[in-house]
Amino acid sequence: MTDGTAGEYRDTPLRPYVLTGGRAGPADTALGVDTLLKAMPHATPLPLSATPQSRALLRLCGGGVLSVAEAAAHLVLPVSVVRILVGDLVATGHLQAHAGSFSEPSMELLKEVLDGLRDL
Amino acid sequence: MAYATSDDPSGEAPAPRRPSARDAPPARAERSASTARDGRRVPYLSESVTRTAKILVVGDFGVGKTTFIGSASEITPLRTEEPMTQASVGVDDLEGLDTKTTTTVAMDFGRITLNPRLALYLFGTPGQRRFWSMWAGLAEGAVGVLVLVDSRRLAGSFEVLDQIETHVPAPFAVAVNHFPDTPRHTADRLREALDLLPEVPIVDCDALDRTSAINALVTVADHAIALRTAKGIPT
Repeated sequence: MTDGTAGEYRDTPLRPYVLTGGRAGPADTALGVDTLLKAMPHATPLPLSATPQSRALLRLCGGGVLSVAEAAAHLVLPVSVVRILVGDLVATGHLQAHAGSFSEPSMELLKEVLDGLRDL
Repeated sequence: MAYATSDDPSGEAPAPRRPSARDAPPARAERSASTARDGRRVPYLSESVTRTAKILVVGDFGVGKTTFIGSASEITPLRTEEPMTQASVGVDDLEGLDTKTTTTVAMDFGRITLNPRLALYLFGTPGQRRFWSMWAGLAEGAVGVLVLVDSRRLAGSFEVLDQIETHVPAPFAVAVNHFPDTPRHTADRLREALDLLPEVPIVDCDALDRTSAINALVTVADHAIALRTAKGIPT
């Protein structure tokens, strides 16, 4: 489907899973709510077919480092949708995603959290 | 760049519009903007932060989760809304809810940069069974869970505690949020009323007060370390 000749389905805004092409989960990248996002410098421009939501996400992340949850809140999108958009933008080399809590935190991290809280 | 706000899926009935070539902004412009949809400046993390940790703040409705997060957080608490999945509808009795409406659950959260490399996120969610599918994933990898309790309405916390004890492997502590007319219970009486094991820490807390909120978070981290130490150390 080329830009400017988009079919009617594409134009219809937009239940969350329409934005994600019907997918309910991200492809590969491990993305938690607290995974950090950063726009890749010097990435190619997004294709014309990219959704406004993907563009807004990339623009937001271009300003600095944010978590998936923060990006979702600022864009007024569900976290589940943002995770999928992020997965796509990571796959195309536009976004970098790192960190995030998935498994039991290490003792080292627990101590660092405790020390950090005590020092506040 | 008007397109950025043109179709908000949470809006009532946004006008359909067709993507066109005009919508493609220059690549440079995509990196320059740093304002949120509501026009506020986005509080980005320091570039030096490379790791994150999270603590869940759960509790009955109206127990002060958002207030608590607002007190502890370095940013104005943010909110995101998630549609409830079919799975969660399936395990719960959504009596009285119109089945045609999409139910969304709000999650409020905040952030504390603990040191130049590490940010702690605080995620607040309702703890009832029907939201379980939402926060079970959230609890994965968490430092721990803080259960906020209103001692004037202890019964409201029973279900929350049941869910955590049954489903959440992360360590949890209980914080009793004090409202002006909160009766003072001794920790022992609360422990008995809430049927908590002796090892579960109970702290008093004033969700409006930053020091008090941070102290409750310290209790969670401390407890997580104590549990790990107790079970850990291979012989």
